Amino acid sequence: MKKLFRSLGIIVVKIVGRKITDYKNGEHLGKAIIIVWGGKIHIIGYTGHRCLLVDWLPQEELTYWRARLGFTTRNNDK
Amino acid sequence: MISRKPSAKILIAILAHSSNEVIAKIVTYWNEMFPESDVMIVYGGTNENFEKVDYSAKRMVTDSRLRTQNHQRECQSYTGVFDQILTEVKKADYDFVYFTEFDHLPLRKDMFELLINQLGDNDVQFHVLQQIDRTNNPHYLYHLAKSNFKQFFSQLSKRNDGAIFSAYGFGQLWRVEPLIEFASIEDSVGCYLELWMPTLAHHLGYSISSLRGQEKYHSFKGDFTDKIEEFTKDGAWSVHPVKNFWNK
Repeated sequence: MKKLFRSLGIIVVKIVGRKITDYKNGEHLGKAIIIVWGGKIHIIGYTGHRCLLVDWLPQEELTYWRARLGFTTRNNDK
Repeated sequence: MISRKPSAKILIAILAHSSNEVIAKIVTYWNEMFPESDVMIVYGGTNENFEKVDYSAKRMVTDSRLRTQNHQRECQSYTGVFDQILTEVKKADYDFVYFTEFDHLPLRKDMFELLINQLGDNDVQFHVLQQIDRTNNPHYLYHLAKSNFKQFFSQLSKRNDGAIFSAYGFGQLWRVEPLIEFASIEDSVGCYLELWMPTLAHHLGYSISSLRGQEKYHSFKGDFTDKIEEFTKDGAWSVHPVKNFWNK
């Protein structure tokens, strides 16, 4: 039963999950459902195989109202 | 209990771009507050007004990176200011340099005893010093987009910790030796002054510290001119900003 729920979950993620790309090279890393809950960002059902690192992204224009988080992996973490 | 090196000699360097009349008020105020220290004016105004300033310890800053309109986006720099301080600091045997801006007002005659006491064994003291690398600090993220930003500091760093700091520009207490080395480094990054000063000092191997317990009397925006009396009663060491104080 547990395996069935897991398989169903992966199908749901593949359908409604958001694409996660490596911000450093544009490589597709997998999909996940991303929600903010309880003051935390939850990455649910990540389908990729490589562990994710989260970085604040450089901004070409100085803005105070927005900052972006991006994903990368240890292999690209110089 | 306040302890102070008895013969500490301090050069006070004040960045101003005001008229001769206002400069005279600034110099008089600081000299009356700290008669045992030397006061120099680092001038960031026009050449015409600089010529009219009737004060011998004045220095003109010609660096165009001081004269920005949008200071944060254009990455305003104080490197030209520190170049001028460097010429003055070599003239006498100073122990400390206190650099600040015209709209920063000391409120206590014992301010330097308090500052030096809190500085302790550190080399430099800033207002609101924060480590900002790997955070969402907008200035940090803006500088991350500069290709040589992190590389510049890592190449000269004696620490190799990748740390980036931010601090206010006004009210910096420096021991002289760190200041001399700091002021001799050229900024090839185009770094905003609030990041450049604490980050460079740190990577040169100096110990930087943040002034504690005075945060509510200092802000990067607004005007506290109407709060001077209240803050003085409250025991504040200084107040910033007071842009309208000198025009009263």
